Amino acid sequence: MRKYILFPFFLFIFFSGTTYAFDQININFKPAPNTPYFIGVPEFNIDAEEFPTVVLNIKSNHSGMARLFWANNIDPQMNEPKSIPFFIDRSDDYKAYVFNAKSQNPYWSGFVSQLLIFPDGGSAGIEIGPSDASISKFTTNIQSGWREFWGPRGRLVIGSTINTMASVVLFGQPITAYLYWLIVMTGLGYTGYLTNKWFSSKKKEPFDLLWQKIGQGVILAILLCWCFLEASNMFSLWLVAKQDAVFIGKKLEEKRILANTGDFYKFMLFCQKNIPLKSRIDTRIPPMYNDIKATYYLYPRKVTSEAEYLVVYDLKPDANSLNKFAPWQTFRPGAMILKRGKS
Amino acid sequence: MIILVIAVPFILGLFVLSALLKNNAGEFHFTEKIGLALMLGLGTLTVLMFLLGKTGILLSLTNILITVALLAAILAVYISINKTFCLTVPEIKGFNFKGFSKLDWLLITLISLKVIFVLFSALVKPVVDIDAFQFYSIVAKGIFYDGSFTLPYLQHFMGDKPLLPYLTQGWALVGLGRDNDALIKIFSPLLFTCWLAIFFSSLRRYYPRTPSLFFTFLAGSFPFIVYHATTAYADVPITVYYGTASIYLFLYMKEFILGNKNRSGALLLVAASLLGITIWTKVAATVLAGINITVLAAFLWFNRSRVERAFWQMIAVSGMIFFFFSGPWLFTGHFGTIGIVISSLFGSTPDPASSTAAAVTQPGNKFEMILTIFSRKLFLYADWHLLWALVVGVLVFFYRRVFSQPLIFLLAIIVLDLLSLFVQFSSGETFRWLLDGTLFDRLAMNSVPAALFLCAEAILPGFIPGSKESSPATSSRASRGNKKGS
Repeated sequence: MRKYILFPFFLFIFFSGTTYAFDQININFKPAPNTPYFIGVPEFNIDAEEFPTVVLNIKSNHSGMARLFWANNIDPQMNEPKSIPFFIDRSDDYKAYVFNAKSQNPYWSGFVSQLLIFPDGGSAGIEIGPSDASISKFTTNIQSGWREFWGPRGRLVIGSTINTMASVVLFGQPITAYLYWLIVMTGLGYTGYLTNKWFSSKKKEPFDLLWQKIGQGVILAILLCWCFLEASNMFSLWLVAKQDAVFIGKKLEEKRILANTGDFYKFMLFCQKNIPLKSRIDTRIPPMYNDIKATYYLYPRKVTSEAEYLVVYDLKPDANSLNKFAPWQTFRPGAMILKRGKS
Repeated sequence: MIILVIAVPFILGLFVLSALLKNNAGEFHFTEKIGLALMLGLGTLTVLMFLLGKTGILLSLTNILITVALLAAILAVYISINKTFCLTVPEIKGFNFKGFSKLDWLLITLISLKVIFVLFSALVKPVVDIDAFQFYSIVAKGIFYDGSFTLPYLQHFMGDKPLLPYLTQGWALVGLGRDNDALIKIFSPLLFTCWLAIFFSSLRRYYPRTPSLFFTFLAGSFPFIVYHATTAYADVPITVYYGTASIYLFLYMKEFILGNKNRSGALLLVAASLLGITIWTKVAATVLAGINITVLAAFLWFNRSRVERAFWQMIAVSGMIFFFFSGPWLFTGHFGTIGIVISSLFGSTPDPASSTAAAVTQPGNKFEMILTIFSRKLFLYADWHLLWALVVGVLVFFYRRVFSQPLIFLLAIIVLDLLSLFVQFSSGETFRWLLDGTLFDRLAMNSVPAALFLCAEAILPGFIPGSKESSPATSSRASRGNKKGS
């Protein structure tokens, strides 16, 4: 009798142990030296098909946006297409951030060899505890979808939205796709109900009237879904307003410093101070967009190849320029104003 | 000084609107006239600044104010002869919020929140979008510092682009008296607000307050338009001017069929003025104006038996007003732009340097690709929420109303607008911009106001018992209601 009890018990232990061993791969993150991001250690080899879920345990003293990047055997570079943006919440304890990476991004494929977490404001104040890649479960999928829906994709300006505006996504699909299904199913259900009622009634109303009633139901469903989208959109606008709030109470020059990257606008102020208003300038500024911005900020100084001054910012002037211009005012190494004529 | 920047075009617009509407001002809603005044004033100011600049007169604050005052004085003489002004004291005093339900207040709150957001997001930060830096705002700085937009240095920032965005931003700096690239964007959110006010009033003419407010709430909900209303680009100006011009053209047709001669005439004049100003917004406006004129011609042809001699006079006056606004641009060396636009629609081939364009030059591939991109952009992106699904729903379920006069002509405008995009992207050099995703959404934006108005006009009579737009009695009842209050 005992063996009948013990055998299944040992069998259970064996299989659950095996399952446990292959259910998840533990990942640790540490800040990369002199960089604003965290990198997974040691390097691993995650089968993306088998382990589509990534659970990160993060503690942060501030909220903000971050990105999870990965490298795989197909593309060993960390790049934007192979990333998932997400919001980090302020929390005193470690909080689990669950991503069904496969459903959120189709590039979660092949063998993932490295993970990287890049918080927008740098790694200061953020700690990442033991994390893992695991198999998908119903509960983790729900958690992942929830975080994805309220996440930055389709809500915050990522890059530029001047040409198009991405939809909020759920399991990698635009939310509108689900709403269309809902509208179609509602429409079909309502059509079935009204048609059945129409066929079963003895005194039939004109078909046009029936069609109009169906139409009203479908239109109502579309308008309700539209209101849902707008409610979601108002949350996105609230996030944008919070982003814009950093400009409140600042002077215009301070706002411009904030709106530009690095010390670019401070350098523009330096140029405005040193280069006379009506002079002709040329620029050596990496494209894009600081070269275009410099032309705007430095107006009424006009950009021309026949210039008296050469504005240089993080781009080494060519030999020809160095023959014509000599260093004149230095903002910092790599950012300076040159003046025509050899010194 | 920001008050001056807004007040000058607004007051000028009140004079222009009074001259246009004459004794028909009572047919227009109070909020509608406020919105129209700013839009017409801004357009007129653009024309005046353009003429000043072209004649070599410095675009200083004093010179602009003197010119505006002169035009206002001339219009004042005309208005005093006709003994009418578009706003009356009883109308201003009579503006109230009596009889508003809780749902009305909720909708007003949501619409107001959107307007506040747009104003906040536009004005709290400096210019950040790249086309504003490299095209519009730098020329605005040129106008501010050098008092002219005709300097050779500025020409390559302008190209053959129409000047409304440049000159209105230039006026903002001149009026402010300082280089402020946060307040330079003041007119984008204000135009957005005007568009909501006009959209509401146009519906309120015929339908109860709550559904009119609901569709205005929808009008203010498009994420892409809301975003553009916070920038210094040209896409909100063209959308607002063209959208309202199309709506007024439709309202003219509607009133014409209802037999309200005076009201339809006034609506046509407003439509012609707005369409004329549209020409100043973007190069694409010439095609859009051509579409509206073609649809108007088709409407007159189909209704030729009803057109009396007086109506032809009205058409002629409207044509003159259209050219009064658009002529200074078209006849100063830009008439050829129409040819360039048409050749870009039909004549050119994709840029061979573009590898992606070259990869899909097979006609079959191209057609399929364009259809795929069109449908994805219209239905699956956040730009328009569910507008195009609503349009499809309306076409399927309310086909009787949509495919009959006058709504079919508004549908024709929308279809031709979209068709022009299709032709442009399939055979013109702009195909590569469809592939890189930089242009389609911004061009499709122009059709959005008319598309939503079409939906409202098709849906509301079916949902609201007794609100049949084809009944002249209902129309005049609505009109009386408008005069009483908001």
